[in-house]
Amino acid sequence: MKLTLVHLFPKLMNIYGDKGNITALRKRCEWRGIDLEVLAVDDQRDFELISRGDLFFFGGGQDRDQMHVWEQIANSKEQLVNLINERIDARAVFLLICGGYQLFGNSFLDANGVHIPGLGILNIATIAPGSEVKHRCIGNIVIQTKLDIEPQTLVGFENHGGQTKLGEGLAPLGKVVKGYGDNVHDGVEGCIHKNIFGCYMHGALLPKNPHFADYLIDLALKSKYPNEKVSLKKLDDTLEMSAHAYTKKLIV
Amino acid sequence: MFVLLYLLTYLTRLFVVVLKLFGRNGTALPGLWVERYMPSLIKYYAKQYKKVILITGTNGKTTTQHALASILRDAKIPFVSNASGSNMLRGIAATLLLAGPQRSRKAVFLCEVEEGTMPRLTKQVRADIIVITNLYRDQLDAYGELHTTARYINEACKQSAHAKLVVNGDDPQLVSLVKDLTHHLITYGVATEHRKTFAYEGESQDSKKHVQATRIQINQDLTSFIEVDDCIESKNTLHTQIKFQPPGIYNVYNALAAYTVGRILDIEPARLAASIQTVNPPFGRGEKIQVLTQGHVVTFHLFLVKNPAGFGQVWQLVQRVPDARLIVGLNDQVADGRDVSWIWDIDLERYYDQTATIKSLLFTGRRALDMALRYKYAEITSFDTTIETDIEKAIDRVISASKESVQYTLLVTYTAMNHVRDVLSEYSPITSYSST
Repeated sequence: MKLTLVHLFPKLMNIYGDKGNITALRKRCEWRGIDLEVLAVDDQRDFELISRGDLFFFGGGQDRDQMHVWEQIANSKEQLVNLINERIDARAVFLLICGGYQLFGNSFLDANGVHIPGLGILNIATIAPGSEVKHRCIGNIVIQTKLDIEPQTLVGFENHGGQTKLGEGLAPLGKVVKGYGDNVHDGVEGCIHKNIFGCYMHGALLPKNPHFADYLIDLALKSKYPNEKVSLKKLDDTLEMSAHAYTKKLIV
Repeated sequence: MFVLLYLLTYLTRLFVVVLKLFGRNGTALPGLWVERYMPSLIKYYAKQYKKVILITGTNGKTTTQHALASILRDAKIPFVSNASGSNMLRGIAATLLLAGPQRSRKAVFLCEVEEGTMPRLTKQVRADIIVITNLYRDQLDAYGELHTTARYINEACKQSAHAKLVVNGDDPQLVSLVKDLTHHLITYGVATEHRKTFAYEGESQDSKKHVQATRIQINQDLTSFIEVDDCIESKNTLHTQIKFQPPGIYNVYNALAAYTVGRILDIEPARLAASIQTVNPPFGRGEKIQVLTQGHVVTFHLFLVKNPAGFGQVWQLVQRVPDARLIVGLNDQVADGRDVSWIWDIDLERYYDQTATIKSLLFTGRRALDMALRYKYAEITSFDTTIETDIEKAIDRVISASKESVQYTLLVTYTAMNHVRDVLSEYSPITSYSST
């Protein structure tokens, strides 16, 4: 079997070890004999590659770089949104973290706290921290999901200023057990919409949450090969799961 | 004013001595008071010096400072420095306060400065020379972002209009940082062929540097031999050979930075080379601690790692050690960076030498499992690998298991290194060469 992973704007959006998510997906496919091709989309010339994607990753960036990305896509927003929507309809899987998560929403903040419209694919809005949030939401985070994974927890590290509010009816990725999450009020982290998973969790997220990495790979394979029986070969995740459990123990 | 400064200095010294009697370290508190209530006091103390040299940048500040201290000492120029590495405003304030007014008219204040502290310091202190070593992503949670750090340094330079800037001309981040500045700029760097093995952030361009290493040889003991071309005075190019003990090519840059400042101070190249040659690796920068146990010697070669770039450079270097026994220690305290995500930005795979003869790899520290995972996903696992999150147990174990004289090479974050040192001090180390 073969999967194509499209990494959105890796040149500018590659902060806080998010590269580790690509590494985790790459290795976990490789170890099972699944051929994973990784394509980078850095500007409009690469947009045609999007229609080849089964899996998408969009990571976080520094404020200035996030604005750069926005400046690049603002002019071709409609084209980009159409291409992405086609893939969403084909049940492709998206993992969006931090800046990438914010950009998929209805609005986000620029470096000076000014609101900018996003891609409008996710019904979320990111606002400036209010008076009760002095700096940024920084720290270890553990969340409890309702996903079909074992254990149902995810662990990571968040570092964001923006406060994200989920729109009506949108499901969070999980409930915050420890940490801040989307914002300091709601006690939830991330969101799920179709096969799009957005969140603020760095760490990098996937190496320490191999069950979630496999969940994404499994989903992507099932979308791509609807008529075949997909069953992921079990890997020895002793080290991964002990890192997961140990982090949880450190934090909670 | 002068009398007042003396008085304050003596009071502070008295305060420190009194606290010491009670077994407390009192140097931090006066610095904190000055920072909080009277930052302008820094200005008056700094005015006591003929020259102020500031060293900033992500990596290499301490080693550069030590090399420059050696140069000043040999040139018999009186100086005060923050040799302890306290490079935030309160530490610098405490250093100035305790040193007091200077008797010599030639005195130099040599100071390494943490990047974010630069603009707050240059508001008070008129810098004559500012050395900028490099700019990497550090512990990103410290300031948020690389651009922010660049802005801090740029702002500090603008506040120091008459300062000479000594800048690593191989670092594209720095080249763009100083682009819009009108200062007197002196650059240093290495020849293109040597730069290939060494990654800065961004695209490097070839440019002529005032001081350039034309040939670099890294010896088996990781020390280096450098041939330098110097055209600071445009009339003719001077050739010098420098031996440097702090290990690896990244330290070659620090030697070049110190050499360049020495030249600006009008010291002859040969004298500079002699002074630089005597510099020992400072605290945790390739420093060796040895303990004697059951009749044989266990050597710990300590490398402090703080960020992806630094880790990558040390990782590349330690693989040159034959039959290396590596210990990698990762903690997540504030001084280490609370976020360990940075380990996924280390170019482990790229710098892995398949022909290296690594004998064993031990992961330790609060986040040992994260680091072990990083190595697993880099598929660097083909030798004896163990995990022991408890640093004390890990060190005790390697010492008690050694049946002959052996050397361990340690890549450790800040608090992990301090923990290792604490454990080793229980064994009464027989030698430790380090200038702090």
